[in-house]
This record gives sequence, C-alpha cells and structure tokens, in this order.
Amino acid sequence: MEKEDSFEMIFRRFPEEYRHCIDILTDEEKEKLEEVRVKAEGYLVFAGGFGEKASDIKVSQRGLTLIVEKLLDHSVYAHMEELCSGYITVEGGHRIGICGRVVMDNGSIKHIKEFSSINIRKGREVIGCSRSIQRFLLDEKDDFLNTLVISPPKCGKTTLLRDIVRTLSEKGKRVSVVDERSELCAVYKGVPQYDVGRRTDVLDGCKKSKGMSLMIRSMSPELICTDEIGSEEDVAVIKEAVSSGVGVLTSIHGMSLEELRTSKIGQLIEEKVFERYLFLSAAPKIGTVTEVLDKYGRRIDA
Amino acid sequence: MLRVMVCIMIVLLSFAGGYLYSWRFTGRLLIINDVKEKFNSMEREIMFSMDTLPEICRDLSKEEGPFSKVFTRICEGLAGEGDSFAELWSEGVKKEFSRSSLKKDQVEGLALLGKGLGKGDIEEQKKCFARINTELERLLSEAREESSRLKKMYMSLFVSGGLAVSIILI
Repeated sequence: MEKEDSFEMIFRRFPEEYRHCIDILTDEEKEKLEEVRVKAEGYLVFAGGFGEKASDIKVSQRGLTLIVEKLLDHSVYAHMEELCSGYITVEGGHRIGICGRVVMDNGSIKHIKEFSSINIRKGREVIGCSRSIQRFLLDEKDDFLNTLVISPPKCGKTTLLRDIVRTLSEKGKRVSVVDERSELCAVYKGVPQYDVGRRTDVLDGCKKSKGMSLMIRSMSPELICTDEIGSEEDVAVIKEAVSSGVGVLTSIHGMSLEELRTSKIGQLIEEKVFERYLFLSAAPKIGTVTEVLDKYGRRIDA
Repeated sequence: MLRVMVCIMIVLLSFAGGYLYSWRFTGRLLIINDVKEKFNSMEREIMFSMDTLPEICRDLSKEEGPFSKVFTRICEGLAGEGDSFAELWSEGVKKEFSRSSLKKDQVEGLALLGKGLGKGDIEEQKKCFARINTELERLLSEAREESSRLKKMYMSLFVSGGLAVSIILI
C-alpha cells in the first residue's frame, strides 16, 4: 500500500461524519500534508507545506473519543504500552500522538483517558536520501565504519538512518535495528511499515541498552542501528557492541563535535569509537548533509 | 372406538402442545448460556492473548450458537460505521433477539452487557467482566427458576386441558 493511500485510510476509520473531512484538500495539498490535528470541540486542522487549513466540521468530545477508539481497534487494553508513551503507530508507519487526562501510578503513566486532542503525523520515507554519503560509510575491505549522525531535531536523522540501513541491508550486510520508539521501522503488527531491507531484523519498542545486547547475542549482526543515543547506559552498550566486532550506526541531537565531547557520550568520541560523523541540517532542505568527519574530526567530504 | 381414538389423539396433541410451549423456557436458558460461554471465551482472549475486540468477535462469529449472528453484525459494524462496541452490541442483541423466546427485560439486560468493553486498561476490563458475569448469573438463575416452575405448569395445563376435552367428548 502506498504511504499516501495508507494515510487516507486512517480517515476511512473515522466515524461517518468526519470521514470526508480530508476531501477539503486538493491532491497537491494532500501530497504536502504533514500532520492533522484534532481537538475535542474544535475543528480538524490540516498542516503541511501548504500552510494550514481547517475543516468546517467541529469534532465533539464523543466524536474524538470514537475516533481514538476506532484507531485503537476498540481495544484500549491492547494498546496500553503505546498509549502510555503518548502515541500509537498505525498501518503505513503514521504516528498518532494522543492527549487526555493522565492517570499516574507510582510516578509512571498508567493510563490516558478522557481524550482531549490527537495529532496524526504522516510517516515519510525518502528512498535514496543516503546515496551521496554511502561512499564514506564503508572501508576498502567493505567493512562498515561506526557512524554517528548529528543534528538538531527535525533535520531528518531518522530518515537518513533508515535509508542507510536499507541500503546496507540490500548490499548484503546483516543489520539489526533496536527501535525503541518505533520511529525507525514503524513496526505495525510485526511488519516494518518502511522498507528497511531484506537482511534487517527489528527489535521494536525495546530499550536501547537491553535491545542491543540481546541482538548481539541472538541475531549475529554485522552492524546494529539505533536512534538518538545519549545516556551512560547507551555508551556502555555501544562499547560492548564494538568490542564484539559489531558495527554501530546511531544518531544524537547536537550541533558540533565540541559540544558532544562534553556530553555523556564524550567518552565515545575521545576513544574514537565512531569513525564517521555525519552532520545534518534542515537548510536548504531537511536532510542536507553539511559535513562528513573522520574519527579525528577531520572533514573528508570537501 | 373412533371416539376413544380421537380422545387419545387429543391427549397426545395437548401433551405435544404443552411440550412445545414450554420449550421457550429452555430456549431462554440456551441463549443465556450461550452468551455466557461467549463472554467467558472473550475474557480469556483479552486476559491471556490481548487480542483486540474485532479479532475476538471475528472468531466468535464462526462458532456455533444463537449469538454467532450478533458477533457477525458487530464485526461488520466495527469495520464500517462509527459506532462504539457497546452501541453495536446493544443494537445486535435487540435485532437478533427481540422476536426470540427471551422476555423484553431479558433482551434489555443482555443489550447492556457490552458497556465498557474495550474502553479501559486490563484492570477495567476485569471489572467489566465481573459485572457481566454477575448480571448473567442473575439472568440465568431467574431463567432457571422460571423454567422449572412454568415448564411444569404449562405442561400440566395443556395435558389437563386435553384430558378435560377428552372426558367431555366421551
């Protein structure tokens, strides 16, 4: 199923009165659509490259509850873990953020009820976006070089990681992905909703530190990929992977190597665990690779 | 001789009539027992497999029993219009059983059983099933008591009616 079709399929699951709201968008606007916001007692707002557009139908509290119930297959109990993390992933890799009244239990979220708003974000994959940097990721023996993708939020780190994973997997590498927040592969009912390659194994919803150890032991990967590292536990498990001869491909929020040297992962940089650093920017467009550095911090893409 | 034959026929027919009339009480028990079994099965699937309601309803619609059609209706409703499970359950029960052997208050009672299902976490589902089981036990014990009392009464009425007509004829 095409991503566009699967996004429109979400609206087919809406109650009858709201099902056709998306029809106010032209085909061009549907292509540029990035997210849909729905508020209880508010209007559906479509946002994307075309700006914002609101439907003329107001969504009642009951209507919003029905929408969420339908998106949760009328089975809230079966989606509790996802719901407590604030979002669910649906077919096509689209993500639905859910707000409402939170029920806390011993300091952690037990339940979200009395839904107040949802945000449906369109899943995107950009096949081939890593083409220009592929040559920097493998050495002369065709072995993968541990790579860290660095950028501020919303610059396309996850999209780039996904395409690198897909390409390396198609080239014959055994890749394991630990997808803690279901963003890299968007697994829905056991099936990755994005093309992540034929030789890619995905551990979905598992904490990075636990999942990486598990994958190293169980799936004998040549490289392991995970998104947005940053904790001391992540540092330890990356060291474990590298010492086991498994390549590491990951990302982190940041602006420069100097900034990261003083962060929790500074040790990995000092010990030259990563052999490649890719810097991303949202200008002139999301996913632009601005610099590629080697393990000594020298620019190699000039 | 002919008169005796006719009398025997009348007694036999009145016995059959009594049996058929009192069958409705057994029918009620069968329907409530069936819904109890279906809810037990639903509870097991939710508690141990975490299957979703559409998946469970699809499986239950394939099973034998008077409630299978209700689950077929629910499956269609969940995939189509915007109604909640509770609304679809209530609608399905009323459509399938309003002309059955069930009494009106029994249909109303069964129609309310879907309330809350699928809406909360697993703890809330446990409470829902506890409420459903209590309600079904109440409906079952009423139906059992009614069945044993009225079945005998209607059988006796029909047979004694037949005997009375036979005596008059003789």
